[in-house]
Amino acid sequence: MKATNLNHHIMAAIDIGSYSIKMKIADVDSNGGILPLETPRKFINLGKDTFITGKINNEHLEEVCNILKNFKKLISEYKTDKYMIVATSALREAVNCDYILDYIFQKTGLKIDVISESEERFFTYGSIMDNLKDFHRLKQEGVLITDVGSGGVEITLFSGGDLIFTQYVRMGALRLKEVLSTLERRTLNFPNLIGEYIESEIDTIKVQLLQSPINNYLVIGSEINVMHDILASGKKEYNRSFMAKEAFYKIFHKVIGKSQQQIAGEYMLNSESVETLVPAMLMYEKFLSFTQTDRIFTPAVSLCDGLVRYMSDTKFGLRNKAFSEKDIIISVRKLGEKYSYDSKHAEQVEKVALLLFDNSKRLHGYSDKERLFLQIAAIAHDIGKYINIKAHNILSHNIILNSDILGLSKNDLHIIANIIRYHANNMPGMDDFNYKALDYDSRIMVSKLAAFLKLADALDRSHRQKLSDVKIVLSEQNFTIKAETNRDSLLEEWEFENKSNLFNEVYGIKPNLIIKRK
Amino acid sequence: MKKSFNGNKFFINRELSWLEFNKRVLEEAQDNSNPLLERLKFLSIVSSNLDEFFMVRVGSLNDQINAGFDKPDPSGMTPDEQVQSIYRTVASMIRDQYNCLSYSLLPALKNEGINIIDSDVLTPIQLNTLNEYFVNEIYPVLTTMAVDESRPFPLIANKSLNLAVLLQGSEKEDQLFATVQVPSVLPRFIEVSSDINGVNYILMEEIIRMNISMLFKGHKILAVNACRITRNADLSLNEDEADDLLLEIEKSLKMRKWGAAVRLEVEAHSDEKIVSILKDALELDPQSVFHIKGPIDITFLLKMAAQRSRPDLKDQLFPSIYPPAFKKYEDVFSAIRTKDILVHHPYEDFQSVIDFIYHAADDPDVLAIKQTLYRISSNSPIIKGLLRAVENGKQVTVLFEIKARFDEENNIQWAKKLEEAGCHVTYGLIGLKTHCKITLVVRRETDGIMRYVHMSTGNYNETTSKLYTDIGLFTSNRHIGSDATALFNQLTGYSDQPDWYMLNTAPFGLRKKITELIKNEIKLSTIDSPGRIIIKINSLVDSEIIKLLYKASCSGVKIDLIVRGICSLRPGINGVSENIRVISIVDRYLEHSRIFYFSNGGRKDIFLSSADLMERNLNRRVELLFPVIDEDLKNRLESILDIYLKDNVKARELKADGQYVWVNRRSKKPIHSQTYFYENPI
Repeated sequence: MKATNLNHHIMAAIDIGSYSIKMKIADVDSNGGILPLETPRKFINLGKDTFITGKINNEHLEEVCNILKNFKKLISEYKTDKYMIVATSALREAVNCDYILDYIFQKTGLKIDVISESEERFFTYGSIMDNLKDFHRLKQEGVLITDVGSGGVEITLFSGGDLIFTQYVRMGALRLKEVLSTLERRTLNFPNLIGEYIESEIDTIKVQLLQSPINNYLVIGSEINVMHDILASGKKEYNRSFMAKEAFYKIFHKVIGKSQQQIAGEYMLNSESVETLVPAMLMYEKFLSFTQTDRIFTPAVSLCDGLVRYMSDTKFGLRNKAFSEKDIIISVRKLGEKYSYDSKHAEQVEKVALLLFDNSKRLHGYSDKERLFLQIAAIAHDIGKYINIKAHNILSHNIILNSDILGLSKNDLHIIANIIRYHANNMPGMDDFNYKALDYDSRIMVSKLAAFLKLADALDRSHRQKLSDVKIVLSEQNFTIKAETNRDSLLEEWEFENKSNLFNEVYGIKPNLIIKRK
Repeated sequence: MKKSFNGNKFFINRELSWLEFNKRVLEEAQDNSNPLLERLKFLSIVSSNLDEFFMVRVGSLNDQINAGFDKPDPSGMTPDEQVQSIYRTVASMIRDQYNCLSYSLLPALKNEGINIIDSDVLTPIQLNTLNEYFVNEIYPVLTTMAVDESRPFPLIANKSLNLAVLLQGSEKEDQLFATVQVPSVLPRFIEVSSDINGVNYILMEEIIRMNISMLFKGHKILAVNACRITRNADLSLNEDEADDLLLEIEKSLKMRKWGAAVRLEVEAHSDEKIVSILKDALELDPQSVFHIKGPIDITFLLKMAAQRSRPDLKDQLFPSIYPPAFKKYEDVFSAIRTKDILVHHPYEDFQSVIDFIYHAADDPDVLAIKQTLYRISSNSPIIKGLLRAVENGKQVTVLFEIKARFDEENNIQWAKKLEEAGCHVTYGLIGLKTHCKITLVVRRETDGIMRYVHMSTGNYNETTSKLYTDIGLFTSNRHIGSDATALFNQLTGYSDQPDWYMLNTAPFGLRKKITELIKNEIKLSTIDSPGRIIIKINSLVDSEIIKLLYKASCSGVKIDLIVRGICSLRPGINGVSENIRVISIVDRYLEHSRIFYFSNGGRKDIFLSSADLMERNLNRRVELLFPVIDEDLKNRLESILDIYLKDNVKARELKADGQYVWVNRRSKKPIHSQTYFYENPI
């Protein structure tokens, strides 16, 4: 008899990084347990191609295909079809990215998602709780998280339980090394040069980070593991979940200034893992100096861990323990604060827009993801006003497109920016380049969600939150919004007339507004 | 003061140490407390060992000399000095070997009614029968090779037995030279008849010699002498440039037959002209020519010993038992899941390993089987099990080491067969021989994926498993399962060097681990509680490790080494190695298990390994060092080591002068380790 068990699934995640291609195959159970089965990794320096020449070269492309073919073979041994393949900065930034994706698909039959920095962060952080049970306490006390990848470093700050700050800076360990490599021959103190470069890159961030004391520092990234390897060598028992500040500096001072070969030889490490050690350590050191802590938390999490966690949470309908949509929403509110938004208006529009959405599922057929888009658009729809009232919808659109929002892909941002763009008196249409650039499904989504945003915004035209007790009555032919007020709501009623046109066009129903005087 | 232990006097040359080992094998043949046919077997092994030694070691030293390499080894000997010394030592060893044969074994065989007879004692009837046999069976497969102006010196294949013939030419002073190969397709010895004296055998070359004139009609035969050539067979491959490794190896195999000659064996009192013709044609020094007082190439004695159904002249049979741990459970998997299982071969049946493969092949929940293969038998049931697994739809991955010396041809055939069946066959990493022995079975169970791992000190070879002592471990330990998976991903090239939980692999990690373990013992050693190291291996050559062991000895660590073969470490030198004792056990079974014991402050770390402590194992092979975690199994291994250390029947102790002497029994109760393990298997 075959042992089949619905509570167990095999899932696989592949991360095509700047420096290596990694895979994780895991046995996942319905309680959220994840047992890693295989974690192969092949070093391939795609970042070098992209960061220097701007594109991935052909030899590397063949190698990528071979590696993926082998990984596919390993996945097939477990007879599973649940896998995700993502690529990060090296592919994302390559000018020939589309051709590469197509070539890989032709050769291997595998489809790759090129994910944004924010998504990468969202996935990766999603598995922190698997390795660090105390994470909520750290969020409360204040914790700085840096994820030093090959292409960039992601900096995130939590305090009082809230996400305070999050940003991606394009100074990954490999990128730093490659970008500055031409200078390496011209200086006797290369680490010092990298240090100065890092400092100049994070000048502005530093100001924002240092607003309140940071009591914890958490590091994600492969180089911290190399440091652990060095510290663990010769020890029988070694705890990899954190690194004392003292121990960090011990290695730091020993290694800084040594060549790659020296380090590899001295600590019996392979030269691949040593290559980016020095730039990464310099970054850790810089950020560590911002904090008031005597140890660095180092939960061994990776993008692959996060992807598996994400797939497992999705499969079994579990809520992610470390991060939730709440964190995303909070980060959008922080964005609003940054641009001095009218928070009361934003909250009112958000509330009503979601009410409209939740009561008309039959009309739109969307689920949580689209609801989140609408919510974000509602919160941020007016942030462009910070720059100018005139054409503020377009300014809001541009700000959103250039913001890092945790967990959102570039495409997600385009959709949200478009929803925001059409909250004013304009209508989506193929004359607009930004709208035309979207694919069909995204265009429909923009129109359907913008229709809600328009109505919700209209209902607080005066920015005074006059309406209360908003209710929706949806029947076969009618979509009626009922509300109560004890104030004059003429402005809202007038704006509602003006802005119901998109809803009418998209859903084929003309919405009614009935306002009862209290 | 820090000691460097770099001096020549601290190391024993590895070749001479190997010859010492072969001398111990010879001692087993000389030992008349061993059954007669077993003595015959040991005598035969002395010869086959020497054959390989000349082909590989002497071959490689000659290559070094020819390349102008004259750096001394750690013991201070240049390649040339080593070769000189080898020839001298071998000459006396062969003298002892043939003395043993002529004066001890052949007379003893005669007493038992087994006679190897000369042609001059044949009766007319016997002669007649043999002549008929010659005409009908032998003559058709013989090829004579003559030398004259138009024909070059005949190519004499490696290790083939030949008759060299000197003929009278047409002119009075003209002499011709020819060779005839004794056909390897025919048996080396023929049963002539049985009479009251017992059974009489005659050797094939004698029958041909009797009829040699038939081959050279019209010529007068001046002399006929048996001879044999050993050639350099050290394969050197340029793997980096080889597109198809399989093809490259097949090509170089053909070359092996014709490598430069390193040794010429001729029968004693051979015609001087014949010897000098051969010697010149093969470009050999006089010292490479060995005059053999008896039949050349006595490896046939092994066959003869095996053929006689005379249990009274053989060792008492030691039938193996089936590992009891498996008997209590319905299937192998639940047995292994319950508890790690240690199997000590040949006392415990290797069939348990074969059964593991077959169960995996037939079990519907097994998804994949991965295995390394190094030396397999010619009709391997392991391979059949893997083929069955493929038929049953399992993913089968085999890491086939086709570079296993002298087994390449066999391995290539099997590799092709597996590949055709749909098995994923790979040939390992460039520049590294895959020497680790490991099997991984991936199985889907109700509580998720389980991985079952078998690791061993010996090959997946049911034939040698009956003759070699080896230890295997079955485990379902998750960390080992994960490491095993990672190891296979590395060997198939799917992944670069992974991080290990529990396994240590060579190259890279194994040397580091052993170094750490020895250093740890040094660190923990105090006068009150000295450190303790016991290592049982086949060869100890690596100078770095040896120096570290010297250092440990100087720090008071008590070290016992059970080294069956080569040992370059010199024990018992004051101020260097007085805390090190080295013993060697040579007995009916070839000691092959490799066990590493470190007391680690009473924690007792025990490991098993596929590796010897030689540079090649630690640097140029993929080897495995795996921990034994289960307390019961650790205790069992500890007591196994204890018995080896107490052996006073078959153990010899290495002295500071490089000589091996019998362990002094001092009226203690005799302890014969191999017999003990048979009588107390678990």
